Amino acid sequence: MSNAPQPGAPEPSGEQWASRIGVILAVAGSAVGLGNFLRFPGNAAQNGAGAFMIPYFVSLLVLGIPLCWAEWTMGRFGGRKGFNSAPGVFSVIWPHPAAKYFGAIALLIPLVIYMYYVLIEAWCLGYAINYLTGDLLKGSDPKAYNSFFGDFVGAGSDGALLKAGNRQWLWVLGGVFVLNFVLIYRGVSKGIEAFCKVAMPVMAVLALIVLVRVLTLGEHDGRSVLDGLGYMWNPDFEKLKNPQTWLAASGQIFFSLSVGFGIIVNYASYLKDEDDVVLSGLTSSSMNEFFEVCLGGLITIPAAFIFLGALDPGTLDSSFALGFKALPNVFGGMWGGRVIGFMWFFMLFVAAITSSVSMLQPVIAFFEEGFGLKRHASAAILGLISAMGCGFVVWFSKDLMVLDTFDFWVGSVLIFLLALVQSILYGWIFGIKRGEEESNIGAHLHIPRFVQLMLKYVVPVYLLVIFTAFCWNNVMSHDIAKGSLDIALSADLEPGAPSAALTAALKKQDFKVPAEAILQQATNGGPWELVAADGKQVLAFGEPNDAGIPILTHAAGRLETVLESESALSAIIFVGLVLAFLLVSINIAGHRWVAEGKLQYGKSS
Amino acid sequence: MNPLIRDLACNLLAALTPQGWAMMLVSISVVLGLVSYCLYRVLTLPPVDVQDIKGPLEIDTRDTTDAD
Repeated sequence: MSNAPQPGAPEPSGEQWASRIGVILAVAGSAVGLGNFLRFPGNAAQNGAGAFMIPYFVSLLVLGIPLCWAEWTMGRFGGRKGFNSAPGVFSVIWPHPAAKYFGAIALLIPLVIYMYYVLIEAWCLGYAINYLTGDLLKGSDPKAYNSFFGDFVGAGSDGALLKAGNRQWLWVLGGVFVLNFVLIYRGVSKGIEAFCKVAMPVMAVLALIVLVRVLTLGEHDGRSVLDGLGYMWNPDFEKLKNPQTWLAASGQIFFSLSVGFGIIVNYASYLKDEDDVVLSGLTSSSMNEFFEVCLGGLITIPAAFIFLGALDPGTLDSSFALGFKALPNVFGGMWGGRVIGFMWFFMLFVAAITSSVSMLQPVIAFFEEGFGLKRHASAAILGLISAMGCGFVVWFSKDLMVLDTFDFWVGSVLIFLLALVQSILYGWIFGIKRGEEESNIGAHLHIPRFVQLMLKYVVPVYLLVIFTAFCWNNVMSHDIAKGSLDIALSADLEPGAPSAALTAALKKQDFKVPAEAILQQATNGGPWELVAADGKQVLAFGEPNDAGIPILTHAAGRLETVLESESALSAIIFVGLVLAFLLVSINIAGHRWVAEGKLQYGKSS
Repeated sequence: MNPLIRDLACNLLAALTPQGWAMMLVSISVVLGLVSYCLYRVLTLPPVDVQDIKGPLEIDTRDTTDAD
């Protein structure tokens, strides 16, 4: 097939990647981020350590790589039909007026993630600068690092970052924000590709230096490197019986490879007609795995274990706690910690910027092809919208509630949804036969037939199952049984202050009973609950059974958090407004494409 | 975390067991093998025909000139 447009065919986009390795590095750079170095090790250590790698590799083969190939194939197909943005690409795959609106999710995700990711990127650079100046060498007291992080991100109160004394880090944020736009403004090949060709090797070299330092650490409090590696890799096969382990592994693969972000479809649309998608997709995925398993898996947890011992679940579960509190504590106690700390955070900064710059391109491409704007104008509009969003996250900094809300509802829930939409588009609308033919064009490696069948029958079901389980675990509130009381204490469940016997029984099981807490019945005849002075439930007691009286703790789901927190609700409203803006824009762009003859509904391409 | 549980975890998980070595080496070998194979294949592909080469300077992006 020639690169020249065929007569009557839509004109392909002007932008293209300059080299094979360039596009691979750009896609890998988009996928490699903080999750590779912080989320993966935390997830693995909590879910069976070495045994975690079994569901991890199964998910990579069943879910990750097939979905990547589907996205690469659909993206290049859309690019050949003259579209680079998801609304356009989806419309040529499914020539129906509704198709373009699904593309709104693929624009919303990178745009909203950019709004908070650029802030995290600035934290990484800020931490690196603090290592250079020596301000982050605070000895071995964990509280010093917790307090530094809290002040640094303004977690104490809304607007804390704008108060006198905190404003200097806003310059770092401003600089990082502008740097992203300078790179994106230069275009796909001269900006993103040229930058990733330098940034990816730099990132690998920095990570390798930190790895060598970690592997040559001596004993600390009787713990050696082998102990640290044991904590990360000694398998606990019992954990494989727990569905949560499989869910965590699937989620890790899914987020790590950046499938469902709306970025791969956009990047692949800039490929030339006969550029390979199969080998390129596999290479970028394997590069991401290299950073995650070979570097992330050997650095983070072993280093933290040597200096801090076994980490509590709260630290392992939170990338921020592990990366910005525990690891600085490690560097603080390490010989050469100042240099290694700088290298580590600068490496995270580079990893973050190769990801954040990729988040801007899908929206820029939409403004360009949807409204016929030049890159300058598209970048200016995007800059304005993303600056408003970033300002929103900076101002509502208390407990990082807005950032966390954006991350959960957009950076997790919508990503599942988009991946599901894309898998159905590929498997059931585009069709696996057509998909196989399309992916074979220019391929230096062929996708096995069973992978196409998996993409049609297994991947959508697999995604639906893990999406449902994910929502059930995280969106809904749950009362979790954390212990039980002797049945004889039933008589002590009566309105008013808890009896001395009840208080003693609870304390014996490590439950805290706040002063002035009272017992009350939630509803007439409902379960008994222990309520603090501020009216918040501390514990609840279930229906007595053979084991005694269950002690229940309330785990608030995300839905409850949104309904109870003004900041979280504001964040959801903000996302809704951005989505409405995108839907209206897509509607206008759709009319324009039809009027120009670029898009013809009901006519399969 | 309870100090007793913490110490117990430290002792139980001390050092790298043979199974731990196996999981670590197999995982790293699989990934290194895959990435090496892919990079070898990509970097040894025949060069693109000269007439098809579109270097950055030759691409008309049509959106960076005549700013609005």
